[in-house]
Amino acid sequence: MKTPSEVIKAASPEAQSVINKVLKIQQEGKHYRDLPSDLERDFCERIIKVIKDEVKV
Amino acid sequence: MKLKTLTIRNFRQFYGEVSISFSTDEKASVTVIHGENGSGKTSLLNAFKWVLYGTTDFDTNNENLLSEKAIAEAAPNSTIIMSVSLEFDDDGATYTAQREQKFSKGTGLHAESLGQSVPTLTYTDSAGLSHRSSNPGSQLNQILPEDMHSYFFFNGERIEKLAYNSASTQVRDAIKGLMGLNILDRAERQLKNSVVRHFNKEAKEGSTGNLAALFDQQSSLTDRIEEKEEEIKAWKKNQIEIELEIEEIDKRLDSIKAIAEKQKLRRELEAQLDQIKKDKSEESSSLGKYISERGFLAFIDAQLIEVKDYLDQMRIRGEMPSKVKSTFIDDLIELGQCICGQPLEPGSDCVKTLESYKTTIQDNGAEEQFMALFGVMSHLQSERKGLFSNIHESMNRLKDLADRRKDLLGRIDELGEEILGVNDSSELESRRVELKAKSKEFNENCAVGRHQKTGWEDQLNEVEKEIGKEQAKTNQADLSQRRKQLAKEVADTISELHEALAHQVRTELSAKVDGTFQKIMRKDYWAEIDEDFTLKIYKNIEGHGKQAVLEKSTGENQVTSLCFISSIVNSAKEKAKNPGAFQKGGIYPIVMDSPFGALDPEYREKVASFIPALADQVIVMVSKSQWRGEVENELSKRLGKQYTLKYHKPDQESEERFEYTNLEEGFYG
Repeated sequence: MKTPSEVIKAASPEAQSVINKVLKIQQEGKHYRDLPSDLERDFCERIIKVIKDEVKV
Repeated sequence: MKLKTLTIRNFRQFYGEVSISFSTDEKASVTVIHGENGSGKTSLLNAFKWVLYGTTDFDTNNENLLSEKAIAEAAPNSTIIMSVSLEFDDDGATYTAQREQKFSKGTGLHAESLGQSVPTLTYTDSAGLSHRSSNPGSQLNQILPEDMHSYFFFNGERIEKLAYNSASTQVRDAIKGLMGLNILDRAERQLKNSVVRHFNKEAKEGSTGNLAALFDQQSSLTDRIEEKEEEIKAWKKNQIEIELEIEEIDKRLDSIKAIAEKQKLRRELEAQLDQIKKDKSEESSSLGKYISERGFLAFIDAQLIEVKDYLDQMRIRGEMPSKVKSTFIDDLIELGQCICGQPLEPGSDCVKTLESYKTTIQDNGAEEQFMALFGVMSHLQSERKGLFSNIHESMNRLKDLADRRKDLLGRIDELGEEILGVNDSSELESRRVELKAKSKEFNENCAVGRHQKTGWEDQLNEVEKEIGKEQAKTNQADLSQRRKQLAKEVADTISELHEALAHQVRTELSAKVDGTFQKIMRKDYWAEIDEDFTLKIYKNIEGHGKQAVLEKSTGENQVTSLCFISSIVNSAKEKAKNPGAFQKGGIYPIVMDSPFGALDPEYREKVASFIPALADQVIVMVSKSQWRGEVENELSKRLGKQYTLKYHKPDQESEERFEYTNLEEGFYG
């Protein structure tokens, strides 16, 4: 099995950049077992924005 | 999280206000609360749960929490307040969580609750600023999630279940929760569902005709796959709950002397059955792989013969260059006649001339190729023979496994009948049979569901390929498509990352659990958290190698569970000190009620010695008999504070007509 760093290295540079940002967002809700629906929506919207910023043209 | 003070008011047998300060000293990290049975140790444990989450583990849950003495002494129609307050430090801030429940005194010993209990949370942050939380329940759940609570505040006599095979889901959840891996699950789900769906919708809006229809198909398939995934998850969860109940029934059956031997034999047979299932799956999978790689050999017999004949003819005709001709010359000399019809006498000029050709012929590589091809043809023919024999052998092994399975099922069924026929175990066995049938049904549902899901996933792949061809007709659709692809790549990478991290954490934790386990266990056993996240104990049997220990005593199960909890708390602590990019860990206390009850003196001593060494803060509740001797010797080395619960029993002849408990600092046992 690959190590975590090997998994990350195998991803494209765009994916690596998005993963870091997505996990930073998710850290804010790390202690919730079930994320409240408003926070869930907020996280999804922020992830969409991260991806849109990464793929612009 | 480091616990500082717990203040209880009119909660269960604690009348009036009772306050306990816990030791927060790193070197003297143990606080001991002494109390005899019924003095309030379990109430104290539940006070933590009630203040943090508003629930308790009592059979009556939140009924009858109010102190009887407080009700009795209140004036009619007056308001009685029950509350618990907990002060603790976490991540640089000091928190005070409080929960209050008001009651109105009715007639006699009846008090009516006035609405729901009210939680409050105030805290001073690392900069010294005070705050009052607007969402105390949610914020407390962020600090110590409710589903993780039972790993830190537990009744020592009831934690043995963690060592059951069916607790693998709990073990996995605990590892993921405490190591912060849950966020990866969540990120993957959000990306696969909401984010990909968003870009799908965007792509659909920006496109027309065929592409729009394909996107519709894609969305519909994605929805069906997700729904099926959810269904499978629910079936799996139900199955796990059933398996847990079966294990509990098995424990109870184990304790019935009349069937203990039969029950033991059944367990062994069921373990063999599991092994056969695994072997069968491995054999089928390797047979499938072998056929997909070598199966073509079955269909090329005619071609092999044809090619080989053709090559033979070429050689005989002398059409091959270089050394092929040389072989041809040898053949002619041996035949004694040239192709022109002239005889070739040994030693004659003609033969000498022919032999001189052999030395002048240059090898241009064709000979080598020819020979290689010739060799491959022969090899393929022998491989073809091997194919049938290997398939035959594999089919025999599968048949043998199927026969053994059938035999085991028959023996297990017969044992079940015998156990059912014994009065003491009849009811339990009936329930077991019922649960086994349900478990089988859920398992079949899962298998069918996974099959359906795989079919839809294949269809989805096809549709996505079609979309790939159709896309780029509009800029927006193209852009959304690319964004969607990135979202999918991120989701897949996170999924893989999750697996890799879970594997890494599991391996590290397994070693830690084993390290603690081996220090405590006197038997030559070792502990592993296997790939299914089941906490397993193994032993070596000469001639048979590594074998799972199926029969463990309650005490051994308890030791195993304690090793697991303390190791995971210790791992989380180490991760908190050196957080990585994906795991943060955390500081957690261990609060144990009567953890030494089922243990013999040697285990008591070792548990008391090793468990506190792993956590930052330990609070232990013990009776006098559990404390004296080896536990006292060991825990005294790390003792920070100790208290005694003083139970006052009702005495109808004196003024004390209702029970209550006082708390005194120190131990006067």
